[in-house]
Amino acid sequence: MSNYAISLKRTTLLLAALAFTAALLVANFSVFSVGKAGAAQLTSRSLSLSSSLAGTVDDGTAAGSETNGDEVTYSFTFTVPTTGTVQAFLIDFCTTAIGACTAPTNMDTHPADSGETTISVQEDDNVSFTTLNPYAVDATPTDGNRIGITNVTGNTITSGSVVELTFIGIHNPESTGTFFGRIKTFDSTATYTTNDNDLVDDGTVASSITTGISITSRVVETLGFSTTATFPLAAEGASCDPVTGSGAINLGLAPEYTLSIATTYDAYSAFRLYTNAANGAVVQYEGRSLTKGTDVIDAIGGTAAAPATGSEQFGLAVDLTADTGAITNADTTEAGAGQLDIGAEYDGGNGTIGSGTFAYVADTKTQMAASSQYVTCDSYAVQYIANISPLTPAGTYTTTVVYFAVPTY
Amino acid sequence: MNNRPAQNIASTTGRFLVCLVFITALSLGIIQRVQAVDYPKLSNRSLNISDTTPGATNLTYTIRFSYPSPTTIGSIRLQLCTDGEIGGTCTSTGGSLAAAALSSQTGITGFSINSQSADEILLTRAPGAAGTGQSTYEFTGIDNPTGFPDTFFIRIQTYPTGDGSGVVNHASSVVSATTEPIIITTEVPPILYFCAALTLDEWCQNSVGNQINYGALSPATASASTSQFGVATNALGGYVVTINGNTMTSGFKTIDPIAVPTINLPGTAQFGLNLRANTDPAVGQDVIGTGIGTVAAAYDTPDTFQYTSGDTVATSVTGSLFNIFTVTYIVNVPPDQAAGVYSTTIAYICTAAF
Repeated sequence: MSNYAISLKRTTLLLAALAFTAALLVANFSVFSVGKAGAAQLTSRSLSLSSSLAGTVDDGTAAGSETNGDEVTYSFTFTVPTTGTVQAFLIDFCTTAIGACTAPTNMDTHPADSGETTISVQEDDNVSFTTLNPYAVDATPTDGNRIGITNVTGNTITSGSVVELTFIGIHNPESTGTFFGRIKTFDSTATYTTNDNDLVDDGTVASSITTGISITSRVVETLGFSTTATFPLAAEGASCDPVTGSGAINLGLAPEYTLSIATTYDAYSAFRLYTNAANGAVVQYEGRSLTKGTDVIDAIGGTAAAPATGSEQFGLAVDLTADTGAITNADTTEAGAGQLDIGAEYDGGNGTIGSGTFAYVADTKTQMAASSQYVTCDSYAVQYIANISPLTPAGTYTTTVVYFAVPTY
Repeated sequence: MNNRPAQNIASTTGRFLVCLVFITALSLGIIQRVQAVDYPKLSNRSLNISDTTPGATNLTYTIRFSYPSPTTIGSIRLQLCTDGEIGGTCTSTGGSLAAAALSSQTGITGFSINSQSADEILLTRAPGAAGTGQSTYEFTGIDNPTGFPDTFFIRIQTYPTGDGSGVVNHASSVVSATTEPIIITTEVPPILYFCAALTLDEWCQNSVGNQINYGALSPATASASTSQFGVATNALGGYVVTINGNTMTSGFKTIDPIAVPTINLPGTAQFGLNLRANTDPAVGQDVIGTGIGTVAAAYDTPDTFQYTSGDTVATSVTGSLFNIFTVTYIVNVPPDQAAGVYSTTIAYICTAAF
């Protein structure tokens, strides 16, 4: 090999080395120019979505509702590590946390594309943007999977400040899975959408689009209806426990339970009702009057009347004054929300017998109370009275009064 | 190039991994889908039963409902169950539909019972259009559930087919409850109001006097006076009032009682009475009051008198409200009536037949 050739080879190697060094320097310069050496990571960062449903899911509820994936509110919260001026925030939504950014499927941050009305920026307790120079949405980058907000003057945000950015009306990605929001702050708006020359801090948050959990439950028709003549009544309790006990009543002067032509005697039973019937319920009674063989004590009839000693009477009425003494846990109000309305002929019961009015239609199923809607839990004491005339044949009289609840769903 | 410290990158990556794991776990965990079967519901539906007594038999059940929109109906399945969950297992209530008969139907009609068991009835008809009007189906011969207080359900499922096959087009439940019957027992006692006195008022509230003193008897003029008794009773067999006692007596001497109804005859020995308003002598009063008591025939003629101890003077064939009977006594003596103090005690006895 000639010296020239050797020299040329060395020169070539030198040139190659120089070229490599130059290329390396250029490359390094390019790398260094992407970001600033002082850029730090945003801390305590999070992203909260008002709905995690896919953007295709719009059940017609208001924007920002948990079941509307078409118009979603995104709330970013993070802490700024670097004190300095921030003129721009840029958020890219990507399918990966790092590397080349692939936009989530059909995500759309642009108001015009999905019918949203606005994208807003809200302040938080630490950084009161409204008292500084307000940031506004930069329409140019804000489209598809990117949001930019700027203020050309910028604001000085001190290290440790918590920033909350809220955007409304974003169309969620249309495929399920995790996606990421890459957040960057810039001290200049000049090239913030194209490179990181003015980058101050950055950080990434994650969220996920999920399939909604469809939970369907059927509330079956409910009815609780019970009667008793045993007092005191059990407390209604949270589940409107039924009243229990014997339905046997002895009416009259103890211990023989005899009636008198001079005194009206009374006795009580009770019923308790709840139902979720949307069209309400009626309470009916049916039974004979007090009877001994073919002898029957006259029923008062369907028009309420006061007790009249010396005349045959058998009647009943709800006693709304009865939540005293042995008649405990009985309701003293009616016709309120979720309550029965006691019929006008049957709401005159009174602990002071002579002050009451009573009615009784024998041998016919007769309505005594009704509601037009659900009944939460009603417990009513029913007062019975009987009078006899001197002509009422002696003997033991009985009757069985059966109560009915008929809800209409 | 990024100047983040290595541990910071690691920390961030760690957080990403944790987040990813959490999200993945959440995604896997939420695979489970909770869903209950639901069907279009019948409207305005109710169940009315003829007796709520547990275990009562041969009852009438009336089921009412309407279709929410026009449809085609060929069959209706009714199930008597302890719950109303359509599609779930039907647990027997202890009641029975086995002997039920479709006694009437209104609205969407044309049904007959295709099959039945204790817990189920299948109604069938030729499939046809059904509007939204109210339908009513009444069944007889049903036995109530046996528990109480207890709620029970009749599940209703309608089908476009005539045999209860295929897809249910409506399904709902109606509900009723058995309850404790209220049994009222009382005693009406035997009632007898009876009092006797010279004067008294209704219901024996005031009774005054029990002695009559005629003073000196005269053969020329009858001595007359009155007393009263009152009666009321609830005795179904009514009552009988009798007079009991001697005629007027003074030792062994007596004034003859009037054995048969006889007018007033001064100057003769007479002791008698009646229960009417008289003109001779002008004493006495007819029975008063709202009762149905009547005077015995022998003592019921004005101006005639009689006295026989043990005689019935007033009766009622059944229970009676209060009556006041006025008894007029006359005493006549002949001129040769032995002197003396004559007296008697008349006891009124009321016997009620309960």
